[in-house]
Amino acid sequence: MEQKLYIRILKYILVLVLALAFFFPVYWIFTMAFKPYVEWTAAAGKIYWYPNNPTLDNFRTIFSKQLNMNAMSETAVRPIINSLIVSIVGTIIAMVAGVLAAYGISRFKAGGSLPFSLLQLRMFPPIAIIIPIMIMWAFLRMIDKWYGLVIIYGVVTLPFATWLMKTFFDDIPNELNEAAVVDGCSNLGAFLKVVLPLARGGIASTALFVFILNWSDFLIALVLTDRRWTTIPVHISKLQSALVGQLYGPKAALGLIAAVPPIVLGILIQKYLVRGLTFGAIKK
Amino acid sequence: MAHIVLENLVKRFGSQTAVKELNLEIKDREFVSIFGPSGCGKTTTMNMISGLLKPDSGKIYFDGRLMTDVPPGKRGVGFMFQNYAVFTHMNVYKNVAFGLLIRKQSREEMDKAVRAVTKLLQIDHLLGMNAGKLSINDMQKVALARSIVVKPKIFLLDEPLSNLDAALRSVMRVELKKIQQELGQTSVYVTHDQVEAMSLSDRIAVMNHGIVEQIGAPQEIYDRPATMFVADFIGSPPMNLLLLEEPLKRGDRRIAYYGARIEVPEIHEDRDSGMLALGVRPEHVEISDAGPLRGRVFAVEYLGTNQIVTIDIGRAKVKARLPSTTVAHVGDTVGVAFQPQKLVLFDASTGRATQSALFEGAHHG
Repeated sequence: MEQKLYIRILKYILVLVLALAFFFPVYWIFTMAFKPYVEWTAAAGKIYWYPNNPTLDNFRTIFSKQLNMNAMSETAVRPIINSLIVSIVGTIIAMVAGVLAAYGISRFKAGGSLPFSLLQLRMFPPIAIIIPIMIMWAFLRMIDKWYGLVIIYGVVTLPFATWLMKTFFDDIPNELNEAAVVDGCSNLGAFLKVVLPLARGGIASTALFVFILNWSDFLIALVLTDRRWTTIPVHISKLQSALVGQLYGPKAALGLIAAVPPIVLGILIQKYLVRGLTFGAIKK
Repeated sequence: MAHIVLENLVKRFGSQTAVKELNLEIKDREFVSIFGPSGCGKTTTMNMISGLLKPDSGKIYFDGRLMTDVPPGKRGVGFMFQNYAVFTHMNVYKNVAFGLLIRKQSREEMDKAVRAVTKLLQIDHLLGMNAGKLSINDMQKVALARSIVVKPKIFLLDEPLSNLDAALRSVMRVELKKIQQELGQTSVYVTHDQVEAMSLSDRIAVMNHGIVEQIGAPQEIYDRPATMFVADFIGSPPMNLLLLEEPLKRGDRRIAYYGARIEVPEIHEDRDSGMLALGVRPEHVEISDAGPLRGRVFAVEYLGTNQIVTIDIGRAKVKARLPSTTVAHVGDTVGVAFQPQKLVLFDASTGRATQSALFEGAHHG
């Protein structure tokens, strides 16, 4: 149906406004990272819409120890490494358990009401359970330990990984398993040789989503870490000084760095991602 | 190469009994179709033959060897699925070679077998292609190649043509038949398409509600349906079934249909009362002024070489398949006659055909 011209114009204007609203913060953090102090601080009393004197000062600030305006004793190196370790290992745990569980649920209807219970786990606001978890972790001496974070990340993202993988497995016809079994495969063989390779796209995109969830977690890391194993989001929150308060420029710089891994991963698995996201849509 | 015996097979899914006490014998090299409406248990039966499903009770023998507990991969069956089950993450060569690889055949033997089969099916030029990018037709050939490359003793086909369009289906039907005859495997073919069942099979097993209603050569099933279900399910349009209530006596050659005298094959059974159904195929209905029944032409469907004329005879509507040259107009009053030697009488309450000369003929050839 042909739409009236003014409706179409209105639609494009709406899209444009929304796009601007969504992209502005990205633009702002990106440019802020390259602004010198006088341009990002509120003390200047003036808004700089773009960096007039682009500088790498903010990056120097977060990676050096003796600073003019920073009261921090830690550089950002450690949190970046920490974030990578706990996010990756947590993702591996969630994916290994999630893929196997999802396969059991999808193919063999295993677990009775367990799949739904997993979903209910996601309905809890994390803040409601983080204190009991902190007490348990303290009792188990897992506060400020890499495995303390890794275990909780694996558990928290497991329902997500399981449910997403289940939908991918549901989309792979069971005849493929049966064909492999008739050809002499065991059930495990059919899973490894036929189903897993076919689910690559789903596995790649699910792993990326899980990684992003772990990577961007603030609350859990804030409560369960102290000095040694703080992650990027926690470190960002600590970037402030007695002199100038919140260090927005360095925060933006570290935020920019934090955005790199998900983007790189996304590009690396782009081929699978597109297929993964539209998996069900193409099949039927 | 293999002789299949199914003995008292039972399979339940929860409270549903999908297959009830099924007995079926399939001879070596025979092509048997299991034919029935959806949900009749035909795919379940097939899956029990392949080993994908375990029967709740009953036994399966291949060549006299008990197979009930043998896993699918060790039964020596090839299976072709409705949606082909082609592994889209592999190329055509790997798809076809899959079963041989699992069976750990030597590389040379495998290569020879794959090339021979793909050549037979004329897909040898596609070997390097990604199986996911094939046309439906080629995908189906890949599935066929994969199931026959392992040289199965038994070839199971679960509605392999139902996803194809009509033109392709008839081409593949001929192809399938040719390949089965060349390779000579015992074949079991599940279908709900009567054209496939009729044209491919040596024998057809007609299933309904988990039991085999009748098993026989296509023509026998068509000409001498053992039950009302078979009469109604096979044939397009199906057999006309006219309800009447009459006692039967051994030796009768006529029955009365609401006053009209209708000649039937000699009856070989005594029956006191009860509802009967007189079965008559549309092609055995004639328009003739001398016919014992009168009716009004209700509808005329022209089909090219012939036409289906529906005649309202008052208590029922009778479909007649007549040559296109026969003149019939809606509203005409016509006389209706049946070819006597082709008629079947069914017990309307049990659905079983009553004994008559028609069935005696069956036993003597």
